[in-house]
Amino acid sequence: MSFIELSNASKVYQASEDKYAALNNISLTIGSGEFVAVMGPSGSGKSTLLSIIGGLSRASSGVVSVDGIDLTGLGPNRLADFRREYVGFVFQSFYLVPYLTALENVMLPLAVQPRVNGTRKDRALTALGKVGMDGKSQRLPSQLSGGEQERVAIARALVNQPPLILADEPTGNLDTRTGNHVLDVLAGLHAGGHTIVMVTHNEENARRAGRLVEIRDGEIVNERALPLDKGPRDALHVRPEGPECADVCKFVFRERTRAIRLG
Amino acid sequence: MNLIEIAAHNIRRKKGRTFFLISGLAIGIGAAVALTSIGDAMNREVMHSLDEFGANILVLPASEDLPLSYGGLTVSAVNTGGRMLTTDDERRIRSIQNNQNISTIAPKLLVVAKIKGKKVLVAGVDFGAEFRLKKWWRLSAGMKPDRSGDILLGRDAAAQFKVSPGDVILFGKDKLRVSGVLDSTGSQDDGLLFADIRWVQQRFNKGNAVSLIELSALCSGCPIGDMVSQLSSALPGARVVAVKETMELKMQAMHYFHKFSLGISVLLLIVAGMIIFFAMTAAVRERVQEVGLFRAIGFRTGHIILVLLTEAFFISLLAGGVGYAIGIISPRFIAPYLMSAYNLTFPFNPLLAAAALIASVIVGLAAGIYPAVRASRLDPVEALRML
Repeated sequence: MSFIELSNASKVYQASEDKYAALNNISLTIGSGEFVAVMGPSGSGKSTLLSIIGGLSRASSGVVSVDGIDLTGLGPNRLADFRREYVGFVFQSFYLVPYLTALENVMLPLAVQPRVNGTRKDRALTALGKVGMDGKSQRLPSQLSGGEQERVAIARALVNQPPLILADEPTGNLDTRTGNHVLDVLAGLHAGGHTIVMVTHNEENARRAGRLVEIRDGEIVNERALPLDKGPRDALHVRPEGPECADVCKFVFRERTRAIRLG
Repeated sequence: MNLIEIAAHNIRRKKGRTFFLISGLAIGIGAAVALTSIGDAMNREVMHSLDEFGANILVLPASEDLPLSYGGLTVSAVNTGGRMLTTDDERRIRSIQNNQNISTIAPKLLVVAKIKGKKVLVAGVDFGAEFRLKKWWRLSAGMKPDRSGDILLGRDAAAQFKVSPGDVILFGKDKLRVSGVLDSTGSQDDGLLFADIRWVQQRFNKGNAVSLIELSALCSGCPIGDMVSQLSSALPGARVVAVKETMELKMQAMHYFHKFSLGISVLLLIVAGMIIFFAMTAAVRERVQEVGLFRAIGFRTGHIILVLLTEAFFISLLAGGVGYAIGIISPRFIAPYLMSAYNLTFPFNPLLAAAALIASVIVGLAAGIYPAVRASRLDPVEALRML
């Protein structure tokens, strides 16, 4: 059964009398636990696709559902609940709150979580531990490198244990080496059972996924399965105690037992 | 990390902005508190002065006759019908519930006498009480009466009888010494002779009767109507009248200061509210991306509003406290220079402190609600794009 389903989904932006279709009748299904890379040139609609899957914006037409929840029928607050319960976003620009420490940034999604197992701080420290950042939990974003900031952003994305991770060019602002470490982290999350949809410009990065979806002018022009790139995974196993991967390889995503169904 | 902690973090982070917001609102609140304090202090002072400035309650014998005029005040006809007042009534007056508000009791016995073949109105008074009541009395010659046989004359009466201090006036067998002559008052007092009330009662065989009793009531802390009704109950058969002119003057003075300070305070609070509004709108604009992130990770619109209004609440609460301190301390330094004519005091007023805090919080929240609601409605995708 598909976890994410888009059926003839379109997204049209309107500025005064000009209309611009960012997505045009897209149909796509993604299964639970898949790692899908979305590629395409700038302005092709990759980020828009991610935003409507994640409930950040609404499709202008068609159906978008995640785990059987029709997102097109949810109001703004229900969509916020959906994002909180189902989605962890990883952005290219990290979007860490500058006046909060790494730990506090990771705790942010828990601030509005009605029920939390254990203390919020322990949960956040655990998430930081998964990305090897527990040693720098008290540092402000300005005191962290780009790669470290991205890993904190990933910890924030997974602190709620969401089934779906949406990464929008997570290595876009990082050098190759640091970018690879971040991809290692995402691969580790995928191995732990998360469904991951990653937007990227970089074909090499896309090879880390199990499936590639190519978009051009708001339409899917190509979709193919990829053999999982073992290189970085092997490298990960070669350096299990490395400062960049830390506990990621040990991380086993707990079975999703979420009882909260939205809608 | 909860929503309140997020708000507290942001307040601490933006120290300059927080200081600016607190200062702006605190100055507004402080000025409003200072004005109210000064207004209240001046009001108390003026009320006190007015309380001491003549009678504001008259106790008269009940009468069905037409009223007579005395001292510019309209009084009932005296000595006719009804129960005569006596000096014992003073004790009854002292027994009313609001007796602590009674400043002066000045009984009077009015009799008509003939001196040197001319009729004259003699007022038997308690000189101590009378001088306390009529602070405008000034002696043009002589001194205040200090013994029972002394007599005080109004200016016109002294001129008519051609007497001056030290002269003796004969009342039948009694000799009375003119102790002093009053300066012109412009009232009926100018044509009167004032003698000790006990001597008048004895000389004219009036027992302990009095014609009327004038009261000066300190009524800034009591409703005059209550005192009138208490006095009426304590003095059956007497008529108790509030002198409206005096009271209205007092009330007018009180309302004037209150309205003035209230008007300026409201104006200042509106200005302070506008400062908060524009500063918070600018702050929200500055934090669009942060708000977008909050929305992206699952904050509901209510959560965003709560975070921003919590900030406004803490800032305005602090501003209220600082503003009250400014408003209560600054008049102590300003008043001696600007209002040296008044003896003003500025005691701690818990009600004013509470009002300052509440007003500050209301202004802060009212000014913050629009930017907060606007922020909560930001499209998260648009907000995150704003780099």
